[in-house]
Amino acid sequence: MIKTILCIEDDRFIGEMYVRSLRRKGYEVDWVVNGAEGLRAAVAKTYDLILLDIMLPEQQGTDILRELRGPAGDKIPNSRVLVLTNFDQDDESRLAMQSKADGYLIKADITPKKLIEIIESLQN
Amino acid sequence: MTDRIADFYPHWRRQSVQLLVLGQALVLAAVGAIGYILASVVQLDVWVVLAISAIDLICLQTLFLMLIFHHLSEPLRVVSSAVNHVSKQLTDLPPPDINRPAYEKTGLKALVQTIYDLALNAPAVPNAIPTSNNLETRKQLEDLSAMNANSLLESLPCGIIALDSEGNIAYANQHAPVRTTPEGKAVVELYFEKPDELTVWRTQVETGKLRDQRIWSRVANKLPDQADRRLFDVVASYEKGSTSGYDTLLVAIDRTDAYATAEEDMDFIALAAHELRGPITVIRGYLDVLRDELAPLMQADQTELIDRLNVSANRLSGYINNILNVSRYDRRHLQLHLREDRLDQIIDSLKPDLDMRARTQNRLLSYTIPTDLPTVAADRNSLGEVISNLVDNAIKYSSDGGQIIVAAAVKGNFVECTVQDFGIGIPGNVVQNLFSKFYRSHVSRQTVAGTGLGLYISKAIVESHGGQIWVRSTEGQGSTFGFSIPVYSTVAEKLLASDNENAGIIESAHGWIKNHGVVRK
Repeated sequence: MIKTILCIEDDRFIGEMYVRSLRRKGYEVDWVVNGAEGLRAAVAKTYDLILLDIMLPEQQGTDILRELRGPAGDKIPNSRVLVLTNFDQDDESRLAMQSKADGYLIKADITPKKLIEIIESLQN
Repeated sequence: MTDRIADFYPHWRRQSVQLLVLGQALVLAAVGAIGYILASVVQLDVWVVLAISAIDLICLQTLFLMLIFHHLSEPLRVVSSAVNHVSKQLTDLPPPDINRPAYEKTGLKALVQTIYDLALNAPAVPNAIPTSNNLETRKQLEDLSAMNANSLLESLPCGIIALDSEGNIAYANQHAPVRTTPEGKAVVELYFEKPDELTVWRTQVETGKLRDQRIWSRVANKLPDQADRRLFDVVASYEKGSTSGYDTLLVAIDRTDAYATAEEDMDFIALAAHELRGPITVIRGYLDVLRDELAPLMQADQTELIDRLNVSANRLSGYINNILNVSRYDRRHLQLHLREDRLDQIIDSLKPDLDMRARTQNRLLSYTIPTDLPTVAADRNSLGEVISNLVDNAIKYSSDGGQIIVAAAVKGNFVECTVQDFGIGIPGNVVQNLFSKFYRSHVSRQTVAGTGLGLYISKAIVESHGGQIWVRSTEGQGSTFGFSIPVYSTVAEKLLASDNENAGIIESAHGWIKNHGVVRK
């Protein structure tokens, strides 16, 4: 059951958009705006779901994912990870998949409503 | 009599000046004589005499100039026909008759003789058509080339591959794009637009033609991410039972540098399109949020306005996806993630958006989709973009209140999906261009907005699924666009066999794995 969500997103408009609509649906959402903070937050507390941007200041989303679920083992075994990006280059996405994200979504294709549908489908 | 070549020109100049002076004097004398006769014998008015003299002068002068030109240009004429003669180029001009006494006298004969002597002693001119004169030379060249053929081919800056009648590589020079398979067999390492394009062409010409030639441009030898990726223009020629023993010859010209600029341009387009995605995300997202939050407060017409904004933002998003997909496809970067899916579900997921588009633009959109269709091997996002493009076109090219029908049916091993409109239709002569890049209908240029990329990328996506796209249209009555994609069970084996790591991904020669919008459960 997904209840707590960590949103790692540096774009204020986009971050606020997700946070606002997710909170309205009753999710508990924490929002951080840079990679380093995101990594700290992800390990400090167990979130049910992490929404991860790729192009981030300080630390890229791909690096965060490698830290969290990389060769050093799965530091977040109880969390799901959805990668959200507008920059779907092949390398990057393949890395994301290899680093075992639970989904890879193009932000421009996903409105908050669709994001919520996807999160609901992850519940099962 | 002049023997020295250097004496020809001074002699010719002297003679020409004399002729000019003499001729000019003759003309003037003639004009003067006619004037004198008219004035004193016929006793015409002085003005009339002057007028007639002027006309005389012009006529005689013209005649004189023509004669003098003919004479002065003679050496040029003779020399050029002599040069033409020794060049062995095909011509109707006869070689000059240099034995004329006049030529001997002026020294022209010596000049032409020198040209002939030079030509005889010179090495054979490349491209010269062999005649008995240079048979000897040709023979020597052949001996030379037989000795050096191998090193010559090796030193060529392009790749040369010879295939035998079985299609196996019989020869490849050092620059040829060839690799060795783990089984030790040499194979052509070129990624054509369709994986088996070369084989298909060979099979076609083998059965139907004695000789044929085909050119492909921008063929890569490696996948986009691999090292040493080069781009070639490939010229293939086929000759049945060729004396060389090799039916098919491939020449691969490395054009990597020339295409690099184009790649950079496309990188820029891709980058620009990516930039556009940021604002689009925000616009679509907040419209979603607003529609949701304001729903209880809004009048029906205000909801309609929000819908229009939504529809426009979605279309913009679709165009951006088209641009990005075309840019990827043209660089052979487009990757599809094929897996078992249901067409009715794919269409269901598009319905809210398609319905809103049709409703706000006042079209009647209906669906005839059986729910018992077999599953297909599809990349849901890309196929969604195809259907969305086809519906978008149907809306564009039909009129207010027009009906649009989306239907699906099984056709053999394929599931076929059609989008039918009853709009302006397409004239027969433009149908074949419809799926080309940037092609837009004859009437649409001024009246309807769009990038002209929709059908081009739709074709690419459908064909990458292993299907086909087509159109049937009657001008004035409407068009039906349709595409087919393979039933999952017919390709399942290939799907699973080709990829061990991620079950459900077809990997064709291009390595089609589209990676956005994938949700693992």
